Amino acid sequence: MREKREDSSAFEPTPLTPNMEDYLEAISHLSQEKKVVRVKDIAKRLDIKMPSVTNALNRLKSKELINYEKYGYIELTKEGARIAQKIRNKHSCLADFFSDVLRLSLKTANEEACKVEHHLSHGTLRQIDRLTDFFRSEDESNKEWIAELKSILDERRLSDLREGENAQIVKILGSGVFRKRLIEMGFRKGVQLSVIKYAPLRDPMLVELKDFQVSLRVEEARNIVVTLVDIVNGDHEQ
Amino acid sequence: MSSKEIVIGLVGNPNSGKTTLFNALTGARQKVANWSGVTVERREGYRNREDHRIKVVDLPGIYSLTSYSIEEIITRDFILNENPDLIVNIVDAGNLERNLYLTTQLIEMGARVIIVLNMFDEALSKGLVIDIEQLEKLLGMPVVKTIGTKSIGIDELVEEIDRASSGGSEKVRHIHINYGSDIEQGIQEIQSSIWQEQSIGAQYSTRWLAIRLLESDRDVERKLKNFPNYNAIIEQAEKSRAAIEKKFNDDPVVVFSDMRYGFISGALKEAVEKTSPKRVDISEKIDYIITNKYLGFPLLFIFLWMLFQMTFTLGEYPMRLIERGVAALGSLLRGLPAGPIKDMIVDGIIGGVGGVIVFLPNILILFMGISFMEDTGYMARAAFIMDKIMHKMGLHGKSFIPLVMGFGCNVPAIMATRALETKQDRILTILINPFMSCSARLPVYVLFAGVFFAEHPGAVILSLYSIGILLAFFSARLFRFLFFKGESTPFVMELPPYRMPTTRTILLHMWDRSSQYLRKMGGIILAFSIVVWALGAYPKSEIIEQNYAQRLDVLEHAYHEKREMHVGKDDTVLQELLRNYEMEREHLLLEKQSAEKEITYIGRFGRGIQPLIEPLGFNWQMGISLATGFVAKEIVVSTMGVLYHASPDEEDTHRSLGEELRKPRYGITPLIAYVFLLFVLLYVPCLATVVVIGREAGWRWALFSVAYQMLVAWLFSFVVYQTGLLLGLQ
Repeated sequence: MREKREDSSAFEPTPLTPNMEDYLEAISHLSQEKKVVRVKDIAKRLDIKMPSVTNALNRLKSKELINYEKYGYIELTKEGARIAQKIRNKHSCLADFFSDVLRLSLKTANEEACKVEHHLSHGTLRQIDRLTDFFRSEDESNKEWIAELKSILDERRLSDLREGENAQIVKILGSGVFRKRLIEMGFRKGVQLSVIKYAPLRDPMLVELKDFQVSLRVEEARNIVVTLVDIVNGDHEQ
Repeated sequence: MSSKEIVIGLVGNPNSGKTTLFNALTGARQKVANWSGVTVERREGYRNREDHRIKVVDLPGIYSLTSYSIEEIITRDFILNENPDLIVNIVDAGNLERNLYLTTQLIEMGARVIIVLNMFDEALSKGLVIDIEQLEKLLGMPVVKTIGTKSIGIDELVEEIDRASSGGSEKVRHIHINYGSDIEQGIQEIQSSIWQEQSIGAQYSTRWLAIRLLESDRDVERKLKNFPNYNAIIEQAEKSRAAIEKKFNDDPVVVFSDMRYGFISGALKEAVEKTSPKRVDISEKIDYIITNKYLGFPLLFIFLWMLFQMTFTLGEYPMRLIERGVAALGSLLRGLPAGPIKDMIVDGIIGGVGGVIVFLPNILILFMGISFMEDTGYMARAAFIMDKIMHKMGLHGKSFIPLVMGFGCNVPAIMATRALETKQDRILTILINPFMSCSARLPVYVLFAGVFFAEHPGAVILSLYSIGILLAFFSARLFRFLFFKGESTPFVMELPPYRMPTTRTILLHMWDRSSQYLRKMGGIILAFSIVVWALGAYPKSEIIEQNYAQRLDVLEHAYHEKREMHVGKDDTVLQELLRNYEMEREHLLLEKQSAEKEITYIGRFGRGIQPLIEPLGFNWQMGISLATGFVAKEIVVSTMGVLYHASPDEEDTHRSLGEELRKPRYGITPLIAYVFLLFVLLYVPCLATVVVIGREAGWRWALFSVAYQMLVAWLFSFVVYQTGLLLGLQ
């Protein structure tokens, strides 16, 4: 999905407010996804009321960034498309960084990128982009330090996991009876587990290990450090 | 009976079907006692063979043989000190990896072990193909397959027990789990320092001692304390432990457990093959509903409501039958020659013991329900759902069921705390259980609320139940703070798959618990009943006896005279006369009973504590009623009936007693009535409860419970009464 952004103007600032940038970005996405873009599509995507959308569209129109007649379809002008591409460049640069380097989930990465994309300068974004590129090429050649960094960043506490997520145990913190009981029951490094569900009051949680299910209080599960695992072993039934 | 006896111990994880297998092995020939000094059950049973018999000891369900819990120490000490001929290690065949962890520790102890792969059908349906011979070879012990619930494989197991315990099995081979050269070196160093003293090796396996020392086992250190080379051993252990810690960069406990699990997965790789499961796991589907975010709680309350209804509504019918039987026995014995012996048997023993036996149907049904919930696996889910709330009270999720049962009767409820794993959770749950207002207190509430709060009796009764719950909550936190500070048990609870128990197992569990109840309670209740009866019947007064005999004579005389005057006249007049006479006679007899009651020890006690109960607004009749209510709360009402000269006719007691209580000369205001109800709610529920607390938690806790409840009842009533007075309430 990621195109090379060799040219140095990729992250140049736009003459728009963050708000307007969001509109332009949305129109750009929508016009790619659909044949025609309507006011209600934009309202739905940005979760904004229709009259406000109309308002904003009129302002974009006055800047000659879109073609728009009342009750009609919306189209980007050539200049509009150019600016929209810049905004999208910024977004994907940040989202890639958050998901690939910082190892946030795709959903979180996109949400966070939307929040900051309007405020970072051209230079900062370019540096971030270079870092992401380097990280990827190192990853592709299986560098050991990348694996190490990934494993650090992928660590979670068992209590942070959501229902249905799978993970592998890294270590068990804490001391005393609790830790020993867990170890005896087979909680140890490398063992895979999955979170079946949380109790109706969100505490305790039910965890499945190899052949059995155990309930743990959330505060106790905080002592179990895990890394997320995406694919479940074949011996798990669907 | 034969002369030779083989002793075997059953060891296994919780939920491995150990109790079911024990029952299948021994039938109903069981003996239950406590392990010396602790309140953990020790269960023994026998199986007769042709020329000998097998004594089976059921050990507590444990995950490991370290020394973190009392159950683990009990099992360990049994193996070390009682020299059983054989350990039968029961293993859930569908969950081998975790279950065999305990087995590796049994191997280390040097015990002679055979393995029972129980619930073999479940393993098959999970698609596990287990190579028994291979497993036997790898573990160096015989392996037997069973399905405990269906009694399949039991005969083969018994034969294997005979063979292995007599040393006739070629499958028994002592193996060592190799921990790798670094650890083995540590083990050897410690072993050689232990060998300095020959007698240690005669008592324990030195390899086991060395491993336990490396894992910092305090109990093992204590065991070695009296040997002369103790200091040298400990010094060596510390050195080796430090070396291992440095080498592996982790706690030796973790290192050892990793190694053991490594050994197990190696063995399983060779002996177990996994094919595709034969049926879909139904547990997951049931759980989707049972512990559902929205349905979980409503379902829990529906199940509890059903259990409650069954116990106390369905139990009502056989209960009445027993009551009638007891009454019939009483009247049958009235034919005995009059005298104190007859009084003691009829009023004391039959009255007292009968009062406990009537609970039997309740207890049978309750335990049937609880066994069902436990055996199906629902109990663990209920605990899972409720844990958050219970944890706030400083309790465990599993405490919930006994607390709810307390609303029915505290006696079986306290016995139901056995489902709790740790001692402190059990004691805590037991101690606050009396605050759950049991059904025996209800008649008192109904009477007073009906008389003094005729407009809102329901609200008054509800307020009492709520106060009980609040005080239970408060007390739980207080006790946790005072006695079990920082000892909060982690909630690492296994949720076993749902299993359908057989009728046989349910009935066996039910019978087992109920017969225990009868046996345990019987003797003590008998003794207490006689004592309490004596306190309520003595001393007798000649003067009262004569006085009333005289007055009865006078009454009878007068009646006969009047009758003669009217002889031959209207029949209705005669009947009227007879009715009048009988009423007056009854009234006089009641007065006599009341006078007699007043001078008995309990009566004197009731009067004697007047200074104590005056600040609560109670009169002496209330004092005596409360004192007799110590035996059972129902008695409060019947004593009041006697003291307030209400009609002895049972149907009328409530109405006439109510009218009587309202009379201004007794000075009972609604405020006093409410405070009285509070006191009835909060003070010791009944003798049977005290006895069962003593049995389950120890007599010191029983005493403490009595003292605490009296104190809370008095203080709370005092504050409410005095505040009420200050506010100008009546």
